[in-house]
Amino acid sequence: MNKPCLKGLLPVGLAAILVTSCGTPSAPPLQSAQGFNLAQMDEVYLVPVVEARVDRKSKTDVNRIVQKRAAMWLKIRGYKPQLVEDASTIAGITGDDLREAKGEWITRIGPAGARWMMVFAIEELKKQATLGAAANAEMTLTIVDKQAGAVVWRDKTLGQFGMAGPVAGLASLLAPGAAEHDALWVAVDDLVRAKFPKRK
Amino acid sequence: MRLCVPVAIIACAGCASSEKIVQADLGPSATTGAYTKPIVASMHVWVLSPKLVYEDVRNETVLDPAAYRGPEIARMLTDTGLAALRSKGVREVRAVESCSLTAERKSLAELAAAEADRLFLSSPDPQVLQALKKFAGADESSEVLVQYARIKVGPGGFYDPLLTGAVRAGASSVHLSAALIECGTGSVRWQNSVLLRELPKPDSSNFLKALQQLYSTLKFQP
Repeated sequence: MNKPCLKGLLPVGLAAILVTSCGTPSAPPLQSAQGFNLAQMDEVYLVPVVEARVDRKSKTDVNRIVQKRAAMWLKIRGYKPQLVEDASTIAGITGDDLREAKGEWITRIGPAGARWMMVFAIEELKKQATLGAAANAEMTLTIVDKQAGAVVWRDKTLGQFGMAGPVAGLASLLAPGAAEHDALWVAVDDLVRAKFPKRK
Repeated sequence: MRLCVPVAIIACAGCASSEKIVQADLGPSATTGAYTKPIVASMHVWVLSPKLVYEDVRNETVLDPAAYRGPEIARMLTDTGLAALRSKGVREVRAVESCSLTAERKSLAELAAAEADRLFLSSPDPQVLQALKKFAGADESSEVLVQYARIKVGPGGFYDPLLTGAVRAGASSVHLSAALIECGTGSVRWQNSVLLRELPKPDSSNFLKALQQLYSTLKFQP
């Protein structure tokens, strides 16, 4: 039901995202293994998003939005993204687990035989009451080298999206998940588009 | 009439906002107290010093707790834990920090408190569990109350509906966690978690409410 309304909002959201992200220097990642270069990855497995939220009441389909957006940027940058649908591969993994550079969870994540795993974790997704629509998406990205059994990259961002005024208020009413959707896009863009170099 | 429509829209949009205090859904056991072993009031509980981690929400940079009245918050957590256990009629409750212990026991308690977050992982750290076991010594049936709070400091909210149309929602929050762990076996007897979407301040009514909610599911058998 939300889809047609959401599509109407997308150009506005996209413009806002482009405006807000233009000229923003990308911060270094939280962690990057010595000798690791993002461009050395070829086939990258996007496992389902790890739910690290305390408040899970939002109906927004975080996994679908994040996987699709990340896959789009990866393709544009010359990587080969593979979507993993099986949620059992991340069962029981918590946000705090992902802070561990070497954990038991690394061995069971993603398909057997695969090497590079991209693990997004959503830590908070909230929509705020304002004179308009505003949302925050707190997200981390962990890249695992499954063959080496180690985390090689860890990054974090706070995706913020907001529009003020009665039009934004109306849009928020018609498409309740639109602000959260766009905040997720901002977060993924910051973690993937802003950091991943183009592969030759 | 013309004004009523946008006002109504804005009001309705506001209805869908997120809650300030959210209790984690830990399944039915969190509210019914249906654990593997009943929690009885005759036990002996040690309250460890809470672990507070202040970090920047955008990049996990560790921040100085003193700048956010961290020591006062830690004191309040300890006091609330002690009060909650005493109000439930637990026979013996003691805060580790206010007891005279042998140097070895003290260092074990400090280790467990410093690594408290590792007890909340999907697989609790065996080294910390081992420290708890050694700390209990002969009294293996004693329990520890572990408290851990990750305080995420983020940019504040603002809005400018007239000039730029920009809106930002505040991004600070605190995730309060508490668990009652049996020292001998390392089994978690009770656990709860509450999210407060603002920076905790000792005089904030929301923070006091969040502390009460944290212990609201703690139930004992007489």
